[in-house]
Amino acid sequence: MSKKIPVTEFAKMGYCETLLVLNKKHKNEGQSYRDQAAISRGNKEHDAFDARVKKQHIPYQAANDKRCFVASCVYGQEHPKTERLRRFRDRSLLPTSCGRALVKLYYSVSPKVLPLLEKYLVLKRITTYLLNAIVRRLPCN
Amino acid sequence: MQLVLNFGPDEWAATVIVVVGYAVFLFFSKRARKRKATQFFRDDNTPVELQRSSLYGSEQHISCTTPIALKGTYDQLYKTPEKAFILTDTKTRKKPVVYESDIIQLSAYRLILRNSRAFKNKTIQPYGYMRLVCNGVTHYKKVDLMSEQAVIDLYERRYGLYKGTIEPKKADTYGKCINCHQLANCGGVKPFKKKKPAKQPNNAFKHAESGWD
Repeated sequence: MSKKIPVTEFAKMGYCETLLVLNKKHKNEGQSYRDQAAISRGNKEHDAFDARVKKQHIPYQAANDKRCFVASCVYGQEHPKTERLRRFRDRSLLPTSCGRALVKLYYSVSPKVLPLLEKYLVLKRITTYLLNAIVRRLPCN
Repeated sequence: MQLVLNFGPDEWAATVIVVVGYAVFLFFSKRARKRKATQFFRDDNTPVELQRSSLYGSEQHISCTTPIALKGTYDQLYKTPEKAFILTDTKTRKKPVVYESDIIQLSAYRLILRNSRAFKNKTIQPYGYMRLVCNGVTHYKKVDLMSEQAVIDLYERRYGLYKGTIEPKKADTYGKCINCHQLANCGGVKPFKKKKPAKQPNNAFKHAESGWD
């Protein structure tokens, strides 16, 4: 399998092909003080915008949000049923305002419920039974 | 059910107050969030298309092995109400100019996303936005991206350049050469012919005739 090339490296093809070949030939990809300052400025702006846009661009689609506390506790983090519940959250709940409110409520309550589930096996069994009933009614994909 | 039926008037009143209070809290927090978002869009000069869209991901690592092996971290990916995805990339520069390398970068990200399992059968727009930050002011430039085949051809060209089977092209602007650290190895600055400004016609005689003087 060929080694994956970083996209930023690949994009340098648009700058100067001779520079690319010479850098490889002389094993020298030197950066001037000016380049280093520019890179540092760029990284700061990236980090600052990343934090701002996640906070203030609504609605924020939690596409990579792996949180699913109760299901993870009952089934496991990477269980297919946990994935189905995450897909249901992302596709059916998050696009609507009522769904988002429900998700918000769930995330505020579930960390407090988790210790109880871990402490009382009976409670965990009841939760598993209820979750299984919900998962059965969810679409497969 | 037994528990619900045993609720007295006080318990019911408390439940209603909690539910109504939570609904009011959500309503006002949504309004405050919307106000903050509007201010953010105004400060950032966000295009309308991105304002309407939701932020699908930010600074996420992606990679693919087919058709070509690439990896990278895109800046932002937005999902429009029509369920299409738009890529954006941030650059800090002195001038709000988009370069060829920016288009190659966004096109490569698009290729990776189109060939990843998570985005199978999903539409990723054939254009993106370059977010250019120049002296604290943000400019968004919409750019048309390269086709997947063009990116693959460029990847193969890169391979050919490294193997020595293809002759590399020199830089196309004076500024790229003059500050290059490989200047000595390259063989000197490419002789660029500066365009002389066109000669302006002598209008002195015409002005005298028209009575301006």
